[in-house]
Amino acid sequence: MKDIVVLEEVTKKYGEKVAVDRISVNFEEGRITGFLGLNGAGKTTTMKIITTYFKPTSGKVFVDSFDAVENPYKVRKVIGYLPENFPIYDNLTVLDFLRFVAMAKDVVDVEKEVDKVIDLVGIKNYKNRFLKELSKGYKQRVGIAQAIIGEPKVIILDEPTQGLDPAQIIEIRKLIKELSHDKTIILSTHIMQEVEAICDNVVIIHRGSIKLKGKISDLKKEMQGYLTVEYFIDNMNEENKRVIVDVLKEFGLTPDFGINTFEFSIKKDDEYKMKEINKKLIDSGVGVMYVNRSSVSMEDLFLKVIKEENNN
Amino acid sequence: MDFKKVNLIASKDIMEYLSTVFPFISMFVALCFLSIFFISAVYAFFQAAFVAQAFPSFAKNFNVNDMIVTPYLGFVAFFSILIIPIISAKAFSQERKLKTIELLFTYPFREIELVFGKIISSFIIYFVFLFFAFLYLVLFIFVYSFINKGAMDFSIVISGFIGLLLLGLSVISISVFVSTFVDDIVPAWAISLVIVLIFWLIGYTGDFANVMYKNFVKTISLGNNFENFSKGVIDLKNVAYFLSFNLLFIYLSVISLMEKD
Repeated sequence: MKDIVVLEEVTKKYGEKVAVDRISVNFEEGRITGFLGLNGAGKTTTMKIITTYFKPTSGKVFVDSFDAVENPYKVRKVIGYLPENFPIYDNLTVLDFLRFVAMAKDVVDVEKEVDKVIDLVGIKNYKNRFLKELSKGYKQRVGIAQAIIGEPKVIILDEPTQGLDPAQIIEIRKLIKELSHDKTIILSTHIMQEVEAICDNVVIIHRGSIKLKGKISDLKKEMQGYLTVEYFIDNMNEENKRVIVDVLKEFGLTPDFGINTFEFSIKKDDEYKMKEINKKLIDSGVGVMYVNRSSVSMEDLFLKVIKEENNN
Repeated sequence: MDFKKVNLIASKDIMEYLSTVFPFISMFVALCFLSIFFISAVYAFFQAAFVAQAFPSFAKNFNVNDMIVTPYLGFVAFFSILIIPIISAKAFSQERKLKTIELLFTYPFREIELVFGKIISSFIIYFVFLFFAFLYLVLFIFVYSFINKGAMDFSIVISGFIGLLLLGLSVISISVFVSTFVDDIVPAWAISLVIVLIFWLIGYTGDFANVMYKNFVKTISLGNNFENFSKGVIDLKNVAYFLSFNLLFIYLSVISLMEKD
């Protein structure tokens, strides 16, 4: 499958601060890619670079084979962008705003296209309202409408469900899924379930660097070979923590500590080792109360990637 | 540059202007002041006309252009300088404040199209203001010529109008440029006003310095370049000055937008 968005060694600095550090990543045509990271990880900066809003400090960005620095105008013609916290022109009506966007994008039949996207995002009854009068959910729909107007090849959605209530989140996710039939969608989020629910591929970014990229299906397949084991103990003091770390280290495992809990991931093939691990923990005086065994979720994977990086 | 895009930006901005009252209140207040000034000037003129009837020698130095039109044009220029930044400092600062600039810069617009669109929308609003400001001046000249059974002399009104259009365009260009790097409307208005006043008043500093400096500041001063227009003279040198001045600030605005991050 063709890569429609290509970033090569892209760095973005704000003064001395490095927001994005030599990232190289490709986005496949016709796929939904989840761009996942914590707040401040560099997702929005990367997206703004792809949209030509920011110029990279160094590196190359190509969208549909056009260089985003050399030819931003051509790039803007093939993208649709929904910024984070969709900004609005308070004093324009939905219809006037969408007509403006359609004309800006050189749409031939403006009225037909505007009617089409209004129907698609379900805002027909609100088209004559001023943008400032809409609820957050409907503003977001208008935001998606302006992004998809003019049939752009690449749609970039920055935190499209942020601030929405659960019912609105489900509706927006459904809408994005519907759009994905013939579009390339790059969707930034800090919610793993969102990526799992609607994306084909995932890219995890942390502290300005790409930490993981791949197909969701491949990652899930890989994760099927792992288990998460969670222990509840009576007293998580420093001595117990030290013992737990030492015991697990012998088996090549690293625990994540909570309040009176710790957990680790273990390969299914190594499950037989659990008997010995339990014995060693109890013999060392760790007061084990309960043990919980579960499959590894995508959320676990995301947190593992982030924690490994933080430990480094 | 695609003029359809320029027109689109200008239309969107005018639609937005029409939905807010502050620029119109400012223009209305300015027009009220202009009316008061104009009525006072006309009143003073007719008083002087009575004196001239009693002392015919006084009538030699007595004409409507010197007593009404030229001072009125100066007054309109003064209010234009105050009013225009209120309208045009919004151009990009409002977009930056509301973050809608993120949309504008990801739609297929070129920086030059955005700058021209913003300038044209402000210019249209300013043109309306100027139209009303000139309305009673033109009416007065009609009536005055009719009473005196003399030929109507609109040359100074026409040159003054052209001069004010060029001056207004220059103030708009400065304000639009400032708005490309200031996020808030009030500071953008204040900075624009300071820059405009510097360019307006700098000519006067030449009166206290050597010839070379004097020539330089008179050449770059908005005030000095406007002076000829208010006296009925359209000098190509002055026209070229205003056009170059505008091109400079349009260029600076485009550069500023290209380097916005």
